[in-house]
This record gives sequence, C-alpha cells and structure tokens, in this order.
Amino acid sequence: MHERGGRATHEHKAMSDFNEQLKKKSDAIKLRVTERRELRERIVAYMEYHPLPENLKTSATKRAAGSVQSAVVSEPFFTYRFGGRYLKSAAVLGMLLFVVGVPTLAERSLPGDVLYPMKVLVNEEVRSSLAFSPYAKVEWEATRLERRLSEARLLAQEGKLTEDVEREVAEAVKQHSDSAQETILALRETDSDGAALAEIAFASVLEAQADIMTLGEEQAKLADASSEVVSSTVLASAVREAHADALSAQRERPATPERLFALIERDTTYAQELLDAIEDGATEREAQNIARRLADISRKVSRAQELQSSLASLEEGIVEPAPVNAEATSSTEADALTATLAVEAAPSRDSVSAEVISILRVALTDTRKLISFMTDIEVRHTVDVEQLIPITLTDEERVAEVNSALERARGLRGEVEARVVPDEVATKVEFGLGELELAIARSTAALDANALTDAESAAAEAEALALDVRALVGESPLESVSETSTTTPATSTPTTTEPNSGVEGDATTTTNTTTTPVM
Amino acid sequence: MAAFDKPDNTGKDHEERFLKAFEEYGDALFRHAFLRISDRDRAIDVVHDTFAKVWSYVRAGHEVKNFRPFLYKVLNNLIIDEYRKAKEASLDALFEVDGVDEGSFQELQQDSVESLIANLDGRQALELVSELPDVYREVLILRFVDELGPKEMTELIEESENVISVRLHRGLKLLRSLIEEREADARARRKSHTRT
Repeated sequence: MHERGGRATHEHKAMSDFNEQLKKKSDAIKLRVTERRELRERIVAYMEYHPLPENLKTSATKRAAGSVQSAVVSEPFFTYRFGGRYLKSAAVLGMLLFVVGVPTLAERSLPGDVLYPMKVLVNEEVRSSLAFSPYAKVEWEATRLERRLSEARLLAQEGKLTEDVEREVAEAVKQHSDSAQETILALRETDSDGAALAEIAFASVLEAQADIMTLGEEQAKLADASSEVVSSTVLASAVREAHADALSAQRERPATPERLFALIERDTTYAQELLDAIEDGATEREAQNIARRLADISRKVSRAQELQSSLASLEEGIVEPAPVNAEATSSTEADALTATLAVEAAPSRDSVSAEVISILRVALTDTRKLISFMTDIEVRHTVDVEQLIPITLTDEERVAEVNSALERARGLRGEVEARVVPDEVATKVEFGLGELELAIARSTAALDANALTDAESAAAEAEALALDVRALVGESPLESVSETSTTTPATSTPTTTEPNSGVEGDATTTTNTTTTPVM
Repeated sequence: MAAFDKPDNTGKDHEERFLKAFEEYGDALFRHAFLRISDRDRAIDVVHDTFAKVWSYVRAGHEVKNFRPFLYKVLNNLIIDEYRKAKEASLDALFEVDGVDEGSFQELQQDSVESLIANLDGRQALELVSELPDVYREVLILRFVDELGPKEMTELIEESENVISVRLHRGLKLLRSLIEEREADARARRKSHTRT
C-alpha cells in the first residue's frame, strides 16, 4: 500500500479544496465602489493636511514644472486601438449585466476591466500625477462643493431647506469656488498645464451641477411642484455664478490633452464601476439609459483619440487631411469650431488640438453628470437622465435617422403625387416638389460621401418641404389616373369640403367616392 | 522617465507610491479587517487609520521599501488595540494567555495542518471564524486569506513559528468542532421537522 503517497496526495487535494472554497468566499469581501472612493478621498485629504516636508518632496512639483509634456511625448501613447467591437460588446454587456442581477456583479473582481479597455491606454504615470496636490486640492474643493449641494437637495426634499441654510450653502459654494480659483492661479506659476487641466475639471463640475439645478427647476415647474426641488434662485445663481467665473478664468492656451485623457479615463472608470454596482434605486430602463450615455462618452473619447493620433502624423510632416468631418457633439463650442473647419483643407495642428480639447470637455462634463446622477439619490429623483445628458447618436444611428427621414419625405411626396393638385397652389407645389427632389438628392449624395451632418440637414430640409407641400395639397382627392410626376389640374367633384373654387369644367374624372353626380 | 515596469521605484515620488499602495492593498486590508472586526464601518476606519499612520511614518522621513508587510503590521496592531479597548468576552481573555508548552508540541506532532484541513469546508470555516477568539482568527486569516508564509507571519505577529503553528492547530480544531456542531444542529432540526 502506498499509504504515504496516497495520503499525501489526498491531503494535498483536500487542502486545496479547503483553500479554494475559502478563497472563493473571502474574495467576495471587499470595499464597495463608493466606500473605496470615499476612503481614498479621506486618505488624500489626510495627506493634504499633513503634507510632506520640503526635503521629501521629490518630484511632484519639480516634474510638473513644464516637463510633463516631454515626459509623455517620449512614450508611445496611443498604441491601442479602441475598436468598435469592444464598444458594441460593452454596450450589450452593460445591459445584460444589469438584467442578470446583482449577486453576479458583486463577484467580479475587476469591474472596470472587461468593459473598459480604455483603461489600458492611459499612461500610468500621467494617471497618478493626477493624484496629488495642488491639482487634487482643486478636486477636493469641487468634491466638497458637490457635497454641500447634495446635502441641500436632501434638505429640500425633506422640506427643511430654510433660507438661512440656503444662504449658508450658497456661501460655501462661493468659498470653495474661490479657493479653487486661487489654487489654480497659484498653480499657473509652476505648472500651467496642470492649471489648465484643473480649470477644465473644476468648470466641468460646476457645469454639471448648474445643469442639474436648471433641469431640476424646469421639471419642478412642469410638475407644478412643491418644495421637493432646490428651485431656489439663491443657490442656483450661486452655482451659475461660480460656473461663469470658472469659464471666464480659462486661458486661451488650452491644456495638453494627455492629462485630460487620463482624467477622463479615471472618471469614466469610476462611472462604469458605479453603474455595475447600482443595486437599488435604478430601474432597468435607467440602467440602460446610463449605459448608453457612458457608451456615448467613450465614443467621444475615442474620436478624440483618433484626432489626437492624427495630430502625431501631422507633426511628422505628413499632411494627411485627418478626417475631420464635422462631428456632432453636444456642445455649441464644438459646433462652432467644426463649422469653421473646411472639410477639404488640411486642418492646422492648433485647430485639431482645440477640437480634441473641446470634445474631451464635453465628455468630462457628461461623465460628471452621470456620476452625480448615480451617486446622489436626490438628483435621481429630481431630474431625468435623458434630459440631463442628451444621447449622442452613433454614426449608424444617424444614417438610419437620415434614411427614415428620407423615407418619410418620399412617402409624403408619394401622397402628394397621388392627389389632384388644386390650382391656386399648383405653382407652389411644383416648386416645392422640385426643391424636395434636390434636397433628397443632396442628402443621398452626402450619405454616400459619409458627410453625415450635411446629410442630416438636407434630410431635415427634405422632410420639412415634404410636409409643407403635403399640407398645401391638403385633402385634395386622389388621382385615379396614374401619371408619373405631373399633376393634373383637373376639376373633380369633391368628396369632402371643397377648397377648390376654380371650376373649369373641362374634364371630368371619376372619383372613388362620389356623393354628388358629375355635372 | 522610463521606470514604468519597476513597481517600488524610488524614482517616483512618495505620494504616488503611497497612493499606489492604497490601490493595490486597500481591498485586501479591508478584507482582513472586516474578518477580524466584523463591523464594516469600523473596519473601514481601521484601514483609514492604518494608511494615515503609515503616511506619518513616511513624512517622518522613513523609507518604506515594501508597503505590504508594513501596512499589515500597522493594521494588525490597530486591530489588536481595538480588541483591547473593547475588552471582549471572557473567552478571549481566557485564551489571551495562550501559552505554548510541552503539551503543545505534542499537538503539533499528532496532526499536520493539512490533515486538519482535510474534509473541512472552507466556506463554512470562513463563516464561523468570527466565532473564534481573536488570537485564532488572526493566524487563520493571515494564513488562509492573506496567504502569508510562516516567516512573514512570525515577523508580523512577533511570535515564534511554533507558537503560530500551535495557534493554527487549535484554531482549526475549534473550527472543526464548531462546524460539526452546526451540522449536528441542522440534522436535529431536520429530524424534528420530519417527525411532525
């Protein structure tokens, strides 16, 4: 009998069983996303208030002073392609995950990874450079500001937001905002890029909060409400003012995108983790809506990444006109910017850079709104995510929209052509139909050329024209004689109320439903 | 700026390394604290205090080459302090002076840890570990959850390998009897159900 060996292997197996079982169960014990975030903030705050003595400050400030750019350029930054494949599976997965339920979610060890391949691309060092003061100090001010607003919303919900408290909160908002601006100003001395980044980050927080408040007010008015919403002007205007200050303080020279990418990566990862972890208070529809917006944001970011890498090839002297066809973003700034970019001309380095920044700004603000939406239950109660963050359609969706608009236009045209055109509107109708044809043709051509914005506007025009022409023809009776495009100025006995007064009495046509005999 | 692959590179500044340690070990530390203290919020506080303490240490100019053992040590001490403050049940006090003597070494010779674990349900073990006195919890969790080696454990707890081994044994035996008790109860309940 090989007792020894047998027993050893048996024990070995038993031991690994035990270990496995135990590990499996213990792995499930960990910090919740919000707990982790808060704990981290507490620790960073502790570090803030107990800073390193001068002799120990190795490189945070030294490195920041101008050399971050050179540090980053030496590394191949965008070596990863954020393919559509990931995105689709991410979106689908995002929805499935919610349907499957919470217990499964809790057991996944790294919520961010599978769904957020973007994490891979960000330069580690750049990412961690965000972790520290004075940049973190600005973020901390922003966080505290958000917290006070959140508390105010809660109080308002409970009907306990007195004028005094409101004024206090407004005062706190101002204080945090001023403090942040001061820090940014000081930061400009040592790290102008960091200062620009901090400005963008802070402004985005304020913008998100301002939008939330505005939307909350609007929806309260619609609901004919109640003291449930922080509809007060004092607080809302404090936030808007702070936002205006933040915007006006921004310099012309934009921040370099690298750190902005890192910032967005960090925030979107957090947003994704939050989405995964939403256990209560989120309906399936809400979760899908949120997932959709996250996907929109990551599409924007990858668009920005594409532009950014096209910048690299521009720098190398290869004047490849980057496909900067006017992409629709939800910011008017971006629209204005892309409007000035001629599609034919090779875009200048600065303009591409500026577009990257503006896309990222929008993405950042949207992300902050989402985070606010998910972490602040009062926000969820007072605003609708659909209105807070409008959907950005994918290219496929846009094409589909254009096509259905054209379908509708064609349908209307068909209806027009099938009817008899009353005389007094004949010329208008003819003209209208002509324009309609042109618009449809323009739109189709634009679709082929992948100029989506042009296609969209042409399609919208076509639909509008079609509606107009259709309205002109009104309830005119249907033509039974099938003529292709010309409309016959025929007289006919009307079936319903008669707008037609010009009776020529030449031809008679039979109508489908005749009530009066033909004269 | 090429040092991306070296984890504990002194080229990076202190703050970065420190926060990185949080990212890496935060969850594990929380897990350990929670398994020892059983109160989620207090566990989080303890973890926070651990990092705060370690940060003070860094500020004082001490070089921390590897954060992991250091964090665990601070955490463990804080947890033990928690227990001392709480003045737990007499059972704990009873086992506090858990001496290791001649008899203890005999225990070691009889059964190996492996044989004690054989046929032991890991899942139930974890569930019941909170019912053990802290001296046993400590070694069991460090050994089986944090997966510390014998040498690491001696450095952390500051006891000899033998003492730790004895505690592991006793802890496992206790767990085993707790599990058996639980299963016996379950069987008894089932029987009484079928009778009615």
